[in-house]
Amino acid sequence: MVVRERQQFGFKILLAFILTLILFLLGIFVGFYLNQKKIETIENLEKDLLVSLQDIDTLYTQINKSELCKSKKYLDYINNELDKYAIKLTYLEESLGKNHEVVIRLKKPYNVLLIKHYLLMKEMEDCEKLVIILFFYSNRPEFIGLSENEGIILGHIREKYGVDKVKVYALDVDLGLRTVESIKEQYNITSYPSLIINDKTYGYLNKEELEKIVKELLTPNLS
Amino acid sequence: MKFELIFIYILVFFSLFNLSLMLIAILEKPFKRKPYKLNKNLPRVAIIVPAYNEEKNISSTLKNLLKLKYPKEKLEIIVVDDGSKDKTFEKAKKFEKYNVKVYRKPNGGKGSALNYGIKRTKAEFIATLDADSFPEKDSLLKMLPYFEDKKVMAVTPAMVVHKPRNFIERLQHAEYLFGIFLRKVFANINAIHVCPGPLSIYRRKFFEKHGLFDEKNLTEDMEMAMRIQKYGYKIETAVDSKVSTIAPKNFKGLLKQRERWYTGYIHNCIKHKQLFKIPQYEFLSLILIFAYLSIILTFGYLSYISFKNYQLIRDNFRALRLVGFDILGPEHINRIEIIEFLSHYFSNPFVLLGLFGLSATLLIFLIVKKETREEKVFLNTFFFIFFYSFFYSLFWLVVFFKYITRRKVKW
Repeated sequence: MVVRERQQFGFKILLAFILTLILFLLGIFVGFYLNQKKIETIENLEKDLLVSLQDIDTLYTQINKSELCKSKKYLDYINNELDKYAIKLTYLEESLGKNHEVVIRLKKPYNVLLIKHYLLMKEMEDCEKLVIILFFYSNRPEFIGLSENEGIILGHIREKYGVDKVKVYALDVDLGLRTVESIKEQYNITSYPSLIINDKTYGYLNKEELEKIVKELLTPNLS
Repeated sequence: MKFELIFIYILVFFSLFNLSLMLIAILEKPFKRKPYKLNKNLPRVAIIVPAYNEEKNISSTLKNLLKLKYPKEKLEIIVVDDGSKDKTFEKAKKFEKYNVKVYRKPNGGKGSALNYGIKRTKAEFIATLDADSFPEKDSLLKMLPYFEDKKVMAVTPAMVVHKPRNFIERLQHAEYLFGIFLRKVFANINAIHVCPGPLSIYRRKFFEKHGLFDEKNLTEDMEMAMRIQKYGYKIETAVDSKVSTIAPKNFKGLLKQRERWYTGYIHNCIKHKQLFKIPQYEFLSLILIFAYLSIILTFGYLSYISFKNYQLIRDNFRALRLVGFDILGPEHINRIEIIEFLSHYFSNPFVLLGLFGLSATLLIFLIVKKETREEKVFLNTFFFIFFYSFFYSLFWLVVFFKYITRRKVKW
């Protein structure tokens, strides 16, 4: 019979197990906490943006057209903040899933803010040459492939021709927002992706087609 | 999505459990030196050097052995030439004037050479030493005190790679350093199951009671260690006794060595399968099981990483194709995107746990670096952390394939 020295096996295994469990739960807790923080940051960003946009909105009612153009810089700054919002949302989508309720809940105010920004930006069309693109996309299986492709192309064009000149507003049509519905009806949009570029409606555009339109719109009129 | 998440959770839990176990084991008996004295009561020790086609190394190995701090009348050095086809025997013969005994026998494998030597000595302790290994001067003096415990049947040293230069050697250098720590952990929970060939000291009594080396075994040193464990004895490790050994210099050599090691591991696990009885063998069983688990998890981890990278590359390629490979200059790199990416990346609990594991690994290397006084460890550690798992799983893949298709692995 083999006699081995006993080594408090059970006790040590239990100890190791408890230690592991503590570390593991700590990790999960930290993850949960950080996720919560992320959501909070997005919510705070949303509130700040809403205030900024209302601020400009009010400003518009008080000043005349010539002074209006000066507020473009402020709008660009808000645009920047909206981009931050979008990236944060994308990462949240990645970790929670595109159809998670928190994602949907945070996406709604984002889309509302986008439309608000869009309406304010439209006022700037007389100040300088701008390309204002409304991009309607859907995450439904039948539309998601082309929608994602269009998103990639739009992001590229926007970077290439300058974020202060090419304004892209990506609206999710599945959120059921009244404003989005009304714009859709107004421009008679039924399939996705669809683009409204400076009031003209287009379907899916590849890079060359989109680039051609953007270039034309940005060239100064000689007449 | 669900499946990969569950896999990651299991992987993280398993790794944390291993880490906790290591921590508990190492804290119980931290790195501590056993004091030793060079006195008259030292036991007789025989160092057996099995050599097969070692004409390149045998002279320097023997020269190094003659410098060992140990009373000459208590130390025997025995070279067993296992039917070499080169000048190993002639070169070893030149050392006969220094009292080195040199024998020559027909080729029969390392185990047979060791047994041949053991039969020709009466020494109380038998050290086995590969002909390409160089122990430090006081190795024997540092290792022998562990035999004070009558249950200890073998003592192993701290192995390091001799003068690592290229990538393959450096990778092994770090692997061996990590192995030193692991061996100490295993010693504390009595779970050492390999007595490395470069240098191991055995108590003669064990050979008398339970037989000599298994001459047909691919890894006779592992078989002996498992046998010692099987009969309820202990194996210790002397972390401060350093032995440097020449490691395979290229991928082919390393693959051949690992095929032998890992196949031997499978064979010996089957031969001594009672070691897997947890109630009797406790930590040893657990470690043997974990070894297999870690292979599976490493496979899974690497496939997961490869798949993720494949997806990443595919998505990037798709995006590039959509924009007609019109790559924008660095002035278009979006600062916000980078900041958001970093904050997203580092707030991932798995990344945090990964950083935690990385710092634990670095800490282990720092401890071992201090104990072994090895230098230039940093680069090798880097290689180890980033590339070791690829090599490890590749070798196991080859071994499993050959095992299943019953291809013979040669010495």
